[in-house]
Amino acid sequence: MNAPLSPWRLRARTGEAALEILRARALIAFVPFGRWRDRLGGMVTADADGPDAGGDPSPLAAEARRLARHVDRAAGRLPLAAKCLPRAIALARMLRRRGIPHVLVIAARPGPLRGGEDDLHAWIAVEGLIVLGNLPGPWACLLTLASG
Amino acid sequence: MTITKDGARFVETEIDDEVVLMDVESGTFFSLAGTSLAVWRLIDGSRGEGEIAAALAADYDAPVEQVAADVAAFLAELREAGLVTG
Repeated sequence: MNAPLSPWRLRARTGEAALEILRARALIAFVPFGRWRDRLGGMVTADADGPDAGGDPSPLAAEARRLARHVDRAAGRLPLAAKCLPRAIALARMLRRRGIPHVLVIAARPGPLRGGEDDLHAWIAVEGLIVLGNLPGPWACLLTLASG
Repeated sequence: MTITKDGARFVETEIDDEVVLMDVESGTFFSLAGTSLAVWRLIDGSRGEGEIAAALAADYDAPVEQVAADVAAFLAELREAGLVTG
């Protein structure tokens, strides 16, 4: 079992997450998707099922969840809105830095359920477990980017 | 000239009676349903614009002249979006 992190290291993680969110927002706003897509991972085919957050997390997924909480915490403290995609990109970069394999999934709600704020959604899964962005479905997966 | 989808340019998923496309270069999303979805499905690399209009007209039991303009306009949008060539 990992030793608990000291308070300053926890704050450093939240700071890292905040910087990554800001970076991700800038990327989304100013750089065409095709220019940075490959940096998030390679496109893979995946089932069209939505997220499933059930089950006990593996050690890697548990660590990813801890990092995801820092991303959510950082997003809540930033003066700018950070929706699912910048959060997912931020976590993907933090996971990559730590060598934790993951997938970033972009999905759409079925047409009859569309019309709200979250018609499109992005989440991060580690070893099949959603660690960030687990919104109630149904979702149809459009794009799955898997880390190398 | 045949119309061809640029398969490297988009990903798609079918949801009920709709196809959602994501342009993987721009990140733009497109929703196709009804006749636009019918045209999209007719783009199989073997048909030209006229043949697509004819097939759609046959499917909908409508005069070719009536649907040809709509097909041309839709294909122009797809070309402009970079999703098809030809």
